Amino acid sequence: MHDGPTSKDLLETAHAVLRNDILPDVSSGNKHNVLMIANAMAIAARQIELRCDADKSELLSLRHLFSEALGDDQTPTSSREIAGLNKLLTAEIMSLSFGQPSKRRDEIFTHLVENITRELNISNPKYLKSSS
Amino acid sequence: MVAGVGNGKPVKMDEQIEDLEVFIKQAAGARQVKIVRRELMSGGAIQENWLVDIQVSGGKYDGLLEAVIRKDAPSNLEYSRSRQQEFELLKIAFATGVTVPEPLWFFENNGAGGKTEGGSFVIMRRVKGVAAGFRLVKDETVQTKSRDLTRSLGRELAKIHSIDLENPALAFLEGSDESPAALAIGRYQAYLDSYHTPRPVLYWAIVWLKEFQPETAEIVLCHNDFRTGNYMVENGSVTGVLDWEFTNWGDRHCDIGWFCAPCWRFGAVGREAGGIGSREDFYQGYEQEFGKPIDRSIIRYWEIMATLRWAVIALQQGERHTSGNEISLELALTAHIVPELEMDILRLTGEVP
Repeated sequence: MHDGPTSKDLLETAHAVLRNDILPDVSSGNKHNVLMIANAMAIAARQIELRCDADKSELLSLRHLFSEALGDDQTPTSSREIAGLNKLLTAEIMSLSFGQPSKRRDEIFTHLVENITRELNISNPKYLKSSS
Repeated sequence: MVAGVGNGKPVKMDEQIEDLEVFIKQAAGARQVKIVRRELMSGGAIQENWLVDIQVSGGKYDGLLEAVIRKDAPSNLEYSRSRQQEFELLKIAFATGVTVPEPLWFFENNGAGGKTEGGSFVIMRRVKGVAAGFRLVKDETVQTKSRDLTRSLGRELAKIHSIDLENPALAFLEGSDESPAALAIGRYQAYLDSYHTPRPVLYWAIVWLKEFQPETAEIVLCHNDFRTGNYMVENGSVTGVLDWEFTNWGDRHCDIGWFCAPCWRFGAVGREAGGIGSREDFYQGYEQEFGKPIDRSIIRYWEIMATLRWAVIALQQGERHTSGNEISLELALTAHIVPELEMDILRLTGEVP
């Protein structure tokens, strides 16, 4: 059994070294590159930590949204199922109208906001704070 | 395939230098030309920009000519203009009084000498200043002169929109019977339909934009990438509007929406005009120059269109990387901004207009 530092821990530690120890000594021409590398490492660390739960939550939310159509089918999480349900969702969105109040449209909107919030927690959590 | 951390593009400028020197010598009517300095500039995710110092002996340009050479990147986005068309647009803008770098020469190297694969190059006089959006929005001088700068940016855009549509040199621009909004929506939807992963929020934007499509305002020459990051600023003043590769006919409110969209504020969310200043200052500068009012009620529409457009471009940039055509960390990271744009779309469409 592997009991050493996890992939997430390694990435976070390397990220800290890069930003705190290496970046200050990097030439101005290469600072942008180092910042991009640090950003990529931070995203990868958050992917490792959060991706699995984010996918599960997205699937649960999609199943809830389409519970009538799906019935009792509760197969395990799979990216294929998420893609399939998102195709259903996309088709329904294409039939929406924004002119009148709609409970169904509000449900879809809530699902989309929650899902994108989860995605932002992986790609750029600062964005949720800075732009709210 | 060439890997890299910066822009990941194959750097083949070195082998072009000799041909460039021969071309510039002839174009400048010089006795001798030597490129004495060259550096790949940062940014320019689609095209490569090279900072060059050219030592010219004899002729009109005698002395050290500080220039920028813009060349094609290995892969392009659809609808992006050729370097020759971009050069023509730059010439017209310069002649009209838009603040742009002086276009010097266009060089089509057909590789006939057998030493290079050839390529297209726009050579322009270098202007001083900073373009990087994340630096400009934090710049103290920019903040001090925010009002004047924001108004002058409005005037620059209005000057572009005032360019004579009948100019025969613009004949290469494509016209369309469709409205600019319908044309754009159709293109973005076609791309999303072909994209391998469903993006429900982007379809949400498509439906919203179809439903609330405004009447087309008058058709003008739209820059189509007029935003913070694509103009140079020195001591709080505009020194050059850059990146004319998407210019085409369009609705003038499209450019205004692109400039003001949340995605181009570089974190300065409260300064709604490009992270630089107030929306009203930008509008007023524009209106003073253009002579007609901006329809403020439809700017949000065009900001949503702008956000959708940037999301589609970001997906395409990511594909340039994942396809293996152009391995680049910058392109790979661009794909990761799509959720930010999707959240912007949800916020902007959260209320029915």
